[in-house]
Amino acid sequence: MSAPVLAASEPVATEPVAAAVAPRRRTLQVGTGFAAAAALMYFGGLLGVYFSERADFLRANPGQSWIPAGARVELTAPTVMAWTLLLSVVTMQWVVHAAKRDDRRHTLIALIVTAIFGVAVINQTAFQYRQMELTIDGGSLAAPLIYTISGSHLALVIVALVYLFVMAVRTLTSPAPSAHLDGMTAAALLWHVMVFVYLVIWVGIFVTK
Amino acid sequence: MTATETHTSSDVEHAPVPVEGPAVPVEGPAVPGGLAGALSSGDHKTLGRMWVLASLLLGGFVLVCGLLLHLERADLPGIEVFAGVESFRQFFTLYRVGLIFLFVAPLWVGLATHVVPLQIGARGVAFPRAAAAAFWGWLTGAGILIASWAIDGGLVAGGEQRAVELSLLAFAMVVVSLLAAAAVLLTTMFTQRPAGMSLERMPLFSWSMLVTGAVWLLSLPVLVANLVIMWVDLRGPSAVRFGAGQNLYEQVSWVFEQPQVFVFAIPVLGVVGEILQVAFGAPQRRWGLMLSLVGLAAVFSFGAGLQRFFSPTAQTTPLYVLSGFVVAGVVVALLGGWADLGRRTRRLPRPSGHLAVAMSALGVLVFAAMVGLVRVLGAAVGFLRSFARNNESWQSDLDRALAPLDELRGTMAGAGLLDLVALAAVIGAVAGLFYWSPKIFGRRASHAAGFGVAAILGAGGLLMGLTSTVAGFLGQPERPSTSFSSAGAEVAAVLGAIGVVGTLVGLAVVAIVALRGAAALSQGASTVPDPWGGPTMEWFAASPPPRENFGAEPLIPVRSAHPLWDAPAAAAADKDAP
Repeated sequence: MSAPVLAASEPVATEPVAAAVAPRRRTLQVGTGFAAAAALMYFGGLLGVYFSERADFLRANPGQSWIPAGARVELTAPTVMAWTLLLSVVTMQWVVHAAKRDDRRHTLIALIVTAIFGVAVINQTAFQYRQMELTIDGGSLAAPLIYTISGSHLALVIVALVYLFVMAVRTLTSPAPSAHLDGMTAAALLWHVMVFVYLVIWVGIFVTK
Repeated sequence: MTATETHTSSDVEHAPVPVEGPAVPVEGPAVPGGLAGALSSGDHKTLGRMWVLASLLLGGFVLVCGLLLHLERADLPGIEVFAGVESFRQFFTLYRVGLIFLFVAPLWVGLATHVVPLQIGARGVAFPRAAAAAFWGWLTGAGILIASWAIDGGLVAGGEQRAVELSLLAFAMVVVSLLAAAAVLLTTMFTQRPAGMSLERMPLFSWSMLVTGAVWLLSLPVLVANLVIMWVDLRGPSAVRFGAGQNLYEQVSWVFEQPQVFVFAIPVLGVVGEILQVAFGAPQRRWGLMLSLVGLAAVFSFGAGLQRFFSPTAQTTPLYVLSGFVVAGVVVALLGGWADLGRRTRRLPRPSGHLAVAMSALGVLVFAAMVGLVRVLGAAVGFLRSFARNNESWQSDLDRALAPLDELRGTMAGAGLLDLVALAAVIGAVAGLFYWSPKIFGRRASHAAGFGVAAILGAGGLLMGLTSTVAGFLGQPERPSTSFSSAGAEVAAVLGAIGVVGTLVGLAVVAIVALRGAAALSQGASTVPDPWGGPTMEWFAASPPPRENFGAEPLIPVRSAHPLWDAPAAAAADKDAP
């Protein structure tokens, strides 16, 4: 048997590849990318159900409010949260930029500011829950959906904060922070996805109600 | 253009030259053996074996549930399996959830976790600890899921509320764990490939797992979203809509229906493609087209947007109809590609046990794809009528010809399709276990066992799936409200009895495969790296592969999708080089 030949246009690997192939860079970024894609689809599923149910309700009950009577779903707190998260996008990129330049001091400052923004969003969500006076009492479709979506986002904020913390420890305890840029960039990717999801929630639930 | 397209007829004579792999395991730090080693392992081979054995054991349990359902449908005199319809529905939902999430999906994950890193020339998976966490999370979730059903939970009305809540959480845990395993596999495939192993040079099984994993990653989070909404609603004083008992299964039913169900059988195409190449001893032509077809089938199996609960017309949309045509078309086109392989070699494939099992899986999958096509034809009535709107005669012809197919919705035909697809997937995975047995179990599976399993499992699968499908055509409801009465009740009962036989047969074979696998693991290992003359990188490793898979030897260069068959040419080229 003659061995199959190669097309002339095919790129040819001329050197034997060592078995101990070092993992390619950006493993954490790729893995986080897949996790972020799954998170986006999860929120896509939640919001799809929300919009579908709201449209059906409004079609069946013209003139009625989707938000149950007595509940106060105001725009102020969500808007403040949206702005807080938008600012955190900038500080998150500051973290990546500083780590890339091995600037430990600015990396630390930017990390602390980003984490404060994240904690502030958790605080604002808790405030909003108290302010809304929206109860899951079997009387409204909106209540379980709003709590599911905003609660899931709250969980995502916490996951993003923990991930950021782990990557920060790795980066700042390393002699060269730029050696851990992959992890820091991955944490930034998840953070940005979390912010994007909130902006969709802000428009879809709180602005358009 | 792919490397395989340039082959002349003389290139396809026969078996490739086996490449000697490194036989000596690499020295490394000591790892604990036995139970401690299994519990703490992040090695993809150990995890793969654990996924496979656990899913086969749970698969046995799931098939027992299926057996009870068929017994009930058979309506045998003196045998009353379930106390009432609610109890039947409880088992019905457990069977469906278990079939896909405790049996089929984890079986693929196990096979892929073991084989894919070897196939792509990686030393391991990208995130070993995440891979281990995924397995243990899935196993724990599966245990809780079954326990919650046992304490009157499940996705049905009338269950104990706390148990139902537990069922929802356990189901979500199982799905999230499978998603984590899929993400680990995808990351491995994207980041751990050696130089030269581009995506289009990946072996067909790895490619099929890549596209399957991608569709899982994009569709199953929507299932988790459904489960979380149901759980939150159920936590309130009274469920509004999502947590209401009669709505629980309806919200997740899209996973078990066309087109989503086909995504669990896509890797069958990869296994069959790998085995056929080796059986004919020739590389597949039009490699890029084959990869594209498998990818197309996976893309059109995405069903998260076709949820009947939220959109009652979802199964009459053009996308739904198109998905049925595309999946069936892809399967037929791939059959053509494999027939071309035989035409070029001008001889029959080398008979082997794994080939027989693979052909059995392919046969069941082709049948499932055709049933799927028939089902979407019914849904296409309205769609086709719009084309014939100016011709009443055509419209009435269409109604006469296709409207009866539309009435298949809600009948046993749906259950038949699920059974057929799931069994095609199980048989395909068993074919993979036979084919990669030297790597997975350290021993070559016997050909005689393969022929036996192919005949028995194929026949059992067809008995299960075919009888349900025919019962659907007779109008037997999928989920009875009070009884199973239908126009052809007597015939349906006979079909149910045949289904019992089919399930028993399937159960026996799954048990035998699990026991044989466990026995092979305990009996030590052979050292033949490549007993079949395989073309892909896993056959370069020792059998079973050492830690880090390929030892200290340099890997051979990857210049096509079948690097081991290129090895003599590469060696000659290196020799001629100045």
